[in-house]
Amino acid sequence: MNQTPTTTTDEQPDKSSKRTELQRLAEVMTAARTQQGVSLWSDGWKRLKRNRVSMISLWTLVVIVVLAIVTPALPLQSPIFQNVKQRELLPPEFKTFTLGIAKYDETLASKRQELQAMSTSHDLAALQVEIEGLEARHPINVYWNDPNFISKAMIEFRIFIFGDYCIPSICGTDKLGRDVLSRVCWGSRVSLACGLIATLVSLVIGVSYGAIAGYFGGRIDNIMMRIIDVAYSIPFIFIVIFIMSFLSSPKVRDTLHDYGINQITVFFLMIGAIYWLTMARVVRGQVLSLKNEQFVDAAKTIGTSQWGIIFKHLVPNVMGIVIVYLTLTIPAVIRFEAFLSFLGMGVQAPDISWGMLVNEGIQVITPIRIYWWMIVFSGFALALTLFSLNFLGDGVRDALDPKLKNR
Amino acid sequence: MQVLVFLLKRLGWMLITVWVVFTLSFFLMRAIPGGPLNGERVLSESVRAQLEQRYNLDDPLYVQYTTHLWNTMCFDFGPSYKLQDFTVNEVLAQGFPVSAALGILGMTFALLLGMTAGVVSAVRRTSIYDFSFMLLATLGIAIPSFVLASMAIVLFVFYFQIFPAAGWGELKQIVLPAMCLGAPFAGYIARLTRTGMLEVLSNDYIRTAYAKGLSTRTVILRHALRGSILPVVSYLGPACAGILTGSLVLEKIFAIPGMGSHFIEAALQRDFTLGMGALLTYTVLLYVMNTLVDLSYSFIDPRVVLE
Amino acid sequence: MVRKFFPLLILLVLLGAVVWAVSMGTLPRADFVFNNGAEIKTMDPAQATGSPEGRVINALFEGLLRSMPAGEPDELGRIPMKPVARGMADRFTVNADGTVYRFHIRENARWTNGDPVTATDFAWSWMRFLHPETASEYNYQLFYVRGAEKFNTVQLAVGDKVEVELADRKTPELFPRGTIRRGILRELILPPPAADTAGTDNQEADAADDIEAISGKAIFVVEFQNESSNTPATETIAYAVSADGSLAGIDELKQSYRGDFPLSDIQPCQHVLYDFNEVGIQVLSPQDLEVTLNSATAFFPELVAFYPLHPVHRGCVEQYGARRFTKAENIVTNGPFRLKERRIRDRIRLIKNEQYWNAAEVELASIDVMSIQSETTSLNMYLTGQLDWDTTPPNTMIPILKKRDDFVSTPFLASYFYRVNTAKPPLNHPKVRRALNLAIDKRSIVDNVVKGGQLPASSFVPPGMIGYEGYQGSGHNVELARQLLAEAGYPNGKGLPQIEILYNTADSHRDIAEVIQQDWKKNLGINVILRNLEWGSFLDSLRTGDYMVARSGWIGDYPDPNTFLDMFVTGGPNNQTNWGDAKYDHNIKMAKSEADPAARMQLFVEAETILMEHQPIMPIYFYVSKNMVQPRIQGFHANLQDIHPLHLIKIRRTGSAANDAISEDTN
Repeated sequence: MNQTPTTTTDEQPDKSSKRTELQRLAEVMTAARTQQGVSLWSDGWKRLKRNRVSMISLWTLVVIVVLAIVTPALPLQSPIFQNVKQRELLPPEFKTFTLGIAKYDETLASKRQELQAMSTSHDLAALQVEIEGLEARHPINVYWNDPNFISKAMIEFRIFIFGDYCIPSICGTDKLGRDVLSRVCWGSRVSLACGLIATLVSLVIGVSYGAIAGYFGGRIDNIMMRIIDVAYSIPFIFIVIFIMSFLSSPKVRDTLHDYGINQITVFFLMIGAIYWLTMARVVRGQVLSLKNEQFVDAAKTIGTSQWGIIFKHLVPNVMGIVIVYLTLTIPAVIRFEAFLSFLGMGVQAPDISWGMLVNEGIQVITPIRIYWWMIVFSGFALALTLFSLNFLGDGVRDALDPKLKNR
Repeated sequence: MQVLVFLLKRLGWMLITVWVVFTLSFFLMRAIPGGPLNGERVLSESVRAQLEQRYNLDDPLYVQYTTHLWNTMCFDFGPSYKLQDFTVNEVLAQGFPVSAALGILGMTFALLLGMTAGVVSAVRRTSIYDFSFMLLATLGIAIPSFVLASMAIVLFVFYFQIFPAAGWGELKQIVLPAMCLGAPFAGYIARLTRTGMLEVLSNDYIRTAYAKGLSTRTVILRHALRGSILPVVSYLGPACAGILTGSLVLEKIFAIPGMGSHFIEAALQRDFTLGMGALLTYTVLLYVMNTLVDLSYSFIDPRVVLE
Repeated sequence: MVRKFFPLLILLVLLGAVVWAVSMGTLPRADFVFNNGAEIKTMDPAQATGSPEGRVINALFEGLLRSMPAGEPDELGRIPMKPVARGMADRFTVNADGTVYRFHIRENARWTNGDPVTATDFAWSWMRFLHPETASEYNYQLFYVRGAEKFNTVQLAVGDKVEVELADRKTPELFPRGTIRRGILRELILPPPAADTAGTDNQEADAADDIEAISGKAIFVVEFQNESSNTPATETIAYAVSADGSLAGIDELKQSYRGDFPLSDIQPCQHVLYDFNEVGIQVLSPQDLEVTLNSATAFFPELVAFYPLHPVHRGCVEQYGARRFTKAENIVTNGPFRLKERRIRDRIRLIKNEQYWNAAEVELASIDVMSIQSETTSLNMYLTGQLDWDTTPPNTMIPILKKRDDFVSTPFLASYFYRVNTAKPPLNHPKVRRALNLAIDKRSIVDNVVKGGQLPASSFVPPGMIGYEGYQGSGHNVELARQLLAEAGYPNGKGLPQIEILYNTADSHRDIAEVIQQDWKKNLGINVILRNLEWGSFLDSLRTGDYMVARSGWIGDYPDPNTFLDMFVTGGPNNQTNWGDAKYDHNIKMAKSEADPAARMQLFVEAETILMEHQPIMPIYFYVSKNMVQPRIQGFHANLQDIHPLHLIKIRRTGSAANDAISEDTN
């Protein structure tokens, strides 16, 4: 554990004997803190940069995440609008496709003008109703599923920039005539968000739980770890089914909606709450070995509270290993979401996730015809993300692992 | 003696775990909307009342809980609600060997492939073997098993026509699902073996062995492998849990009548008794496997103390 | 030592396990293998529901009549399935007013254990089927028989003949029953009517023509005739129904009693039921069974051929009990096949029954009934020759499969529709319901989503019922829909709360729901959300009315409009829409006893018109049967009910390999 910053406290020369002991200690602590930031993280980053595979993975992930974020602003076709009559299960093609919003707006504008020009009240009401109808059925409301205000702004921005232009269906269309490329892009938002949010939840629970157990030790530790042992042997699926069916009852959903929580959020939180067990174990192990180090004693001496020690001193020191586990948990969560989608218990239409798309893809693999574009693109996106996350995770672990420091 | 105490302690904890799982799932199941008596057609009130009486569903909850708990302790899970011709014990007795066979084959495949790949990668470090094995291993870990299975079906069933598409009963039919089941674990094991091996290979005693003039094969199989097997053994516990989950999906794709199929169907159809039976079997299985792993860990590494 | 050999030990254990795993029992392929879809719930005819169960039970057991292809082919070249005397009965007669059926059982009808099949077997099996403790879901199918409903629902009145089952059962099972004593009900002591008055109005109305069914505590005073001469001629005993022999709660009843029968000695008993000898099922001779109906019922022969009415072997049931009698080693059957082996959620192996009366014409020596849930897996198995008959090819593949010769498809008696919860505003407004219905482009759903040649539905009863010309509704009409919506007070969907479509988890249901979601959004400007639930929760939401619009389907039990229209009578258990209409109820009730077929059909047409104008349901399409059958299979004919008797299937032996199917279209 010689990389921990505590070792530096001894090396600080005691220059001024007149300063109070307390001030000196405080200074030492400040110095120790700044030192830590430099040594561990920048060192790790340097080593990570030398690992070419990890860097490629990192950049791939950055691209994927950025694409997911700006998806609404990209000139994609509608991810949910079906065209079963003409565009069902088309193989990849390069024919341009237009949204038809401009034409719709034109009609709407002309009707509005007509309304203003109209003098007789006889048809006025009818025309007003017609305009209201046109407004209510505006393509923006039909092409995208209830976008939040950020997405809506991005969609409007996109219409402003690109107008009616859409990227052709270069990845083909699905069985209801929806553009696969657009669905993969929109699906990435749910899948990535699922991975990130769920992992953050598991991080918060796992780290607090593990740190508390490790720090207090003894009986508390024993009980808390036994609880984890027991939880490890509980198969999740019943709990997931339970909560999913409970959530989808309208009464519960409306209540949640009043608080601004939608079903997907709860789904994320739930998966997160399942994945904290390993994190807690790892953190506890680390804290157990760190809590007898001198910097903890030092903090005790200056009267830091127990909670202060745990969350200000111990937790930052286990962050290295926590990050390594994060990079491994995110792909696990994304995979778990896909697994649930496969069993039909994942996110619900019209929301889209990669797991759902892949599942739709494997439904149409039979020897009589393989609609390869249904599985290849979504599968590729999913595999690429998981692949990159795994490689990045390895790289981060190597970079932060003290044992490999000098290799 | 030490082992006996360890085992007894573990047994105690297992009982507590089973009880917690039982209680938790008992009340969860009853809180879920929908009961076992819902069928395609709605039952008339008298039929419903009669069936509730038959399955003791009309008793107060605590009475149901205590009777069910008592029966469970006597290893009697009662009749299955949705497979009316069978008791839960009969269903499990049919499903368990199937899943066990699948799991064992999958695990064996994972161990053989994973350890071989790991050792080769470590010995030929930074060679093309190392690179491609590790690429494959990561691929195996990254790709969800149902995607892998559908690719395998396209390749080995339709294109090469080596294996049958699905089903259970012949050796041919087990191979493909077992391979798909084992693949992600083979990936993990390969990586664990490689890391462990690299660490061991840098030790002095390996150098000594080489210096004695032993062949590379002897050094690796006799000395190095033994040291590097520890991380693999400690991974076997979680791997068993993963195999159980993985078999849920593969049993569905390959139409295999194992525990996983029974479990999923029981959950979806609200077959409380079968669901509970399968759940507790899984719990016990997981616990036993973890205990065995700990036990073997102490056999392999004398420094490990059982507690 | 142990340490040294530990890795070796592990290796040995693993090796042993692998050998064991590999040596798992293998079964050679049967002559004929088909996918039955879901795992069957039971093989007990009295307990079974659903078509997968029907296929197995029809192969194992045989009723008095059997549905067989008979008569002239219709315009689609289909030979209709009709109940004919090609089952246990070799002939039957009906009296002039259609209320008394007399069946003659063939002399060579045998159970698999060699016992002859007799009229007593049928009477006993039907008694078991109707017995309240059996709790058969289909028991209402026999309520057309005189006294059957009374027996099943325990509607007793003073003066009725009753049978008392004494509390002396040998096992907790229903059969063998305890001692049965038959007598006359002299007094009936019921608890005073419940205090809650909420539903009294309705109940009084019901009670006017029906005697209330007895549930809960009651004391029965029964008078028995003594035959032996040295005791008094009659004996009167008071009974209370109690399964465990305790008489808790009876004291209150005793106190409320104002009559003069001494209640000092009340005996526990298992059941007091209407005397089954009074029910219209009479054994005339071992070969002859007479069934008396309440009124003429045109489709009664269909019911007699329906699998829940197939007989079971009394000795077998009484020896092994309700659950264990269906085990392969115990079961005694009378159908063309017998049970060899059953692996749960894998297969049921049937072999030819040499005792069967018509065994000479049964060609298949063995059948594997597979239960494969995944449609894709099932199709893959069919295409690689592992299956001879696939019952559920996936929708996406239908356009391609349709072009093949081995795809057998025809309209059949089933409707796909959406239930509307008429208690939930704004759906309580009929115009809103009609607007929603008109805004759905059903033609497009049929052509582009389900794609199997289904017919878009504007009425509920599928076409093809003989003598029935159903209601013809208007099709897709967006203008009218908008107009209706405006009339209902929601112009352009303004002010209309969002509507939720509930469906059970399945890709095909989701696809249709998504299309309808878009139709309503695009045409009416209504916000629609989808909710999927897995089967268990789905049914519960339906039952408790916790939904707005829900996907539903109904497969007719027999080719008569009654099996469809009967559902939506007010408060009917399968209604579930909170809708009700007095005229509708009246028509359905009248139709049950109407002897003139034309008038009867007219009653149904009127009823369906009411149903469609109130629109508590939105019909989407009429199903077609979709079967993939290997070319080497013969004797498989498309028909309206999608019934394919397994004993009629034959195999063409001209060496064409099973792999034919795959080679054509793979590339």
